[in-house]
Amino acid sequence: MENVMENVDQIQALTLKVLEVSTLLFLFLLGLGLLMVIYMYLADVNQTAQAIRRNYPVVGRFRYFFEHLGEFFRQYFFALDRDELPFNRAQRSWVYRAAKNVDSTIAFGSTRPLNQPGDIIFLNCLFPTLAEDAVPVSEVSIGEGFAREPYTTNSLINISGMSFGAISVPAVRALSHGAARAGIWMNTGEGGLSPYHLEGGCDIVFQIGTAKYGVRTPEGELSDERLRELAAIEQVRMFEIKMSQGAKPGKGGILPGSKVTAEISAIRGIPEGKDSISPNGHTDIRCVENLLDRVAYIRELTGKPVGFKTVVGNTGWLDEMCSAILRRGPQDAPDFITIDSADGGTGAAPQSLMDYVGQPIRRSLPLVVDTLTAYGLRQRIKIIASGKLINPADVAWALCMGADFVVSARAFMFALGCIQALQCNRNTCPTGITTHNPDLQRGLDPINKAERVCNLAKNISYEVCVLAHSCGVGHPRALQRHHALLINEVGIPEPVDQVFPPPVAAETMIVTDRPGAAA
Amino acid sequence: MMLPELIGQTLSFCGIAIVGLFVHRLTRLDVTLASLLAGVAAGLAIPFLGLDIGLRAYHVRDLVFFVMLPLLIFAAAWHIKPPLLRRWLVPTVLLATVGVIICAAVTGAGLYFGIGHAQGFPWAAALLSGAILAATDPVAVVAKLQALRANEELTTLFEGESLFNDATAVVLFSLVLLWAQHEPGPASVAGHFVTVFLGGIATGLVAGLLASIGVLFLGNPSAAVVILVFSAFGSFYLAEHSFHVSGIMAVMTAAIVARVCLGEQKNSMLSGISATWDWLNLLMNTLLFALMGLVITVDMFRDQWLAMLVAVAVATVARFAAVYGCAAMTQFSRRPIPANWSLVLGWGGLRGAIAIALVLSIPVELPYWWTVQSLVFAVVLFTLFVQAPTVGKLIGRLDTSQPESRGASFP
Repeated sequence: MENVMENVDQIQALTLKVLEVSTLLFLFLLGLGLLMVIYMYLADVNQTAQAIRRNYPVVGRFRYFFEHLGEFFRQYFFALDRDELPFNRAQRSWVYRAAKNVDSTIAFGSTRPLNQPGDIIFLNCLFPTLAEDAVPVSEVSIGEGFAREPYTTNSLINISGMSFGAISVPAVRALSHGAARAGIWMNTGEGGLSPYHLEGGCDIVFQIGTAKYGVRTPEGELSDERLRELAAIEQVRMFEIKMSQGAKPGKGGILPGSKVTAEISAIRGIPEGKDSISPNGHTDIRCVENLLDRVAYIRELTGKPVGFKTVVGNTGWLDEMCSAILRRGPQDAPDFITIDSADGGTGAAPQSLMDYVGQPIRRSLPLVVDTLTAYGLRQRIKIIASGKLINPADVAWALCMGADFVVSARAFMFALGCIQALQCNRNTCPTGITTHNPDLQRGLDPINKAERVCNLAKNISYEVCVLAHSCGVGHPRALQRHHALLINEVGIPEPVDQVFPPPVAAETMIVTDRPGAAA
Repeated sequence: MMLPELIGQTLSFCGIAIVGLFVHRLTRLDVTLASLLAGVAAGLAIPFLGLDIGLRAYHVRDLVFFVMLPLLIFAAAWHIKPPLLRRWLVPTVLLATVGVIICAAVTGAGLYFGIGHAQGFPWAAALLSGAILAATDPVAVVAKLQALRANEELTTLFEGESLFNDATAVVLFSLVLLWAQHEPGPASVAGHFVTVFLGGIATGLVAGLLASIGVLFLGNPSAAVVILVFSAFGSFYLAEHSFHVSGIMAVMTAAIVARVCLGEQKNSMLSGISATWDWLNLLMNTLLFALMGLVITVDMFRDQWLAMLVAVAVATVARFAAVYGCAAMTQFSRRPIPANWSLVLGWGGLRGAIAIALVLSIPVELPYWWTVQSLVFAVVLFTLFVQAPTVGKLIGRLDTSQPESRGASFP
């Protein structure tokens, strides 16, 4: 009994002590808070930099605080599903769910306004394709008959160019593994080929940028030796010359010396710690003839299909190029053309270039397809479309318009966990995709994200097939322009083939009828 | 004691320091070294002339603690630029906590076994010396870094480290002293440590805020100087004498808080403050080294030369152990300390004002005070005479190779 009483006393004493300390602490913090407010008042009244703080001391500070917070809270509380740019929540949610392989169906009707000019509506068939009539996505062969090692694949959507250095090591690894599992290709971007690209075993498209990173001599010329080395790697399937990119058509960039670490310098072939400048264009490709020469030269050297990527701006070169190909013969044609939309991807670029320069994919894709068809080169030159095509309907639209493949960078960035924080150029990417900060990269687990990359590619493919079947064709590449309507400026859908009449194949025309032949 | 006498003694003491400044001007020695010589000369001359400047052993501790330390620490804390400090916070704090403990422990153990005389030089004495020698004083090195236009980041790391490690070493010193005098259990030492440490920070927070409020309210550059100097003494006195918590933590926190809070007023109300800290810092440094000169005797070197040599070796090893240990730990952080910086940090870890201040404050009741004092003096003299002149060359040599390696380590 005595013992118990003693214990109770002890506990009581302890409780009192804790209470006493907490009370003191509370009073201390209260006093400190009071002092802080007095200090803030005096500091605000005495400073001259901010008028709001000077006129409304202490409370004026909340303005700056809330303004900062608003940036983050807006997207959670106030932005509507179809409100945000570049990608709204509905588009992103679909990608997130597809990547996680969870149910991506929605209920109670569409939240998408169905009367916006420029939107696409697909035309379902009264007799949709039955499951047993569906056929697998057809294979397309690039460079067949012209390159020693043509590239054949049945992938619909592939990973567009994001250079190593622009995106982090774990991001590249996740993409590499995911692409391998989904059977799609991955474009290296202009930053050269790193071991991380090869790690997963996926097919690689090597991009040659204007600075020729990864395939350059010390003077910045194209290095034959490096090209041969790359071509010897079986995984490297194609070479793509980057003439321009959507974010900054006609502009190069500067890689600051501080970002040129030993690893980057080895992979890109530039001196460590020195600023590296990408010219605005290729110094060795100054006209259409140069371009065709280069394409043929690299194809001959490497034995693999070679094409180029560009944003379509003025279109004179397109006719000029087709005529040159007809004159020189199909062996000099590029094996593919990647058409980038003008609205910009992951790259950092001046806003005026991103916002105002180049044609959007909606216009440039049909244009290029029609021109190539008119010259009879459509079969020879494959077309890859790119630019905000992240949902199945976007992919299906591109196929309707005549694209052979679609590539996207940002869809796969969403699969990697991108939350559209728009900080790709600041080394502060909160999801570790476009940052070199190891603390932020730690959040990105390549194993888990590789799975998501794979899921996304497969789910897009699957849903494009669903769309195709609904339109009554057996597989997605059979989609034609008459399978879709385009909403016109008064909100009424009209057939796409009225807006963009399907091109007449060259075979049915006599030579003098061909566009450009008269000139 | 009558006031005129006190004034007379203060003036004669300052006179010695001023003689030191003259010596500095005439011989181009470091200010610290020059004042030390002036002190030694005065120490020889005063008995010879039969003067009495009234300085007694029992004054020294209070003089050092309540007058010199607050100003030295406040000036040092005020001098560091907050954004730079924030950038190097992790390495700095690591060096000032783990580094101080490693340095004190290695020095203590080295001295205990090196001297090998458990009766005359027990663990308490060894650890006391370790704690004292863990505090570095970068005045000489920072002057060299600035003269060589070395990187500002390295300078900040030096200053920040020394500021924080002064504070932690002083706290550690008072704990070891408490243990040496009373021998309480480890639990009570730990509890005491937490109270003293956090209490000091809390006092400093309030003092710093009050000082900022005062400065802003008065809104006059001269009054700002008065307030800040007052807050340096006041926060120390309040913490040490009224609340019995760490005065040094209080001064340091107060200075940093005031500096951050008054950042916007740097060019208006605080235009005169840095000149004030400059002269106060100079005066306190010269006074402290003159005081050391007064205390040094030839007997020390005759009686203790072997122990002194051991101390010099052990202190150098301990400093490098601490720096390299912490540098290895920072490799996992966002801001690793580059290898060549570690070398400069290790060799540039001079012991100066704080070490002297602490050793002069050891009560003479402890039987080993004389030994500890001579060991610490030996290390201070070694760093002043050998390390300080050579560190400039070391920095010069490493600096040429710095831009490349920096590019690689800080993408």
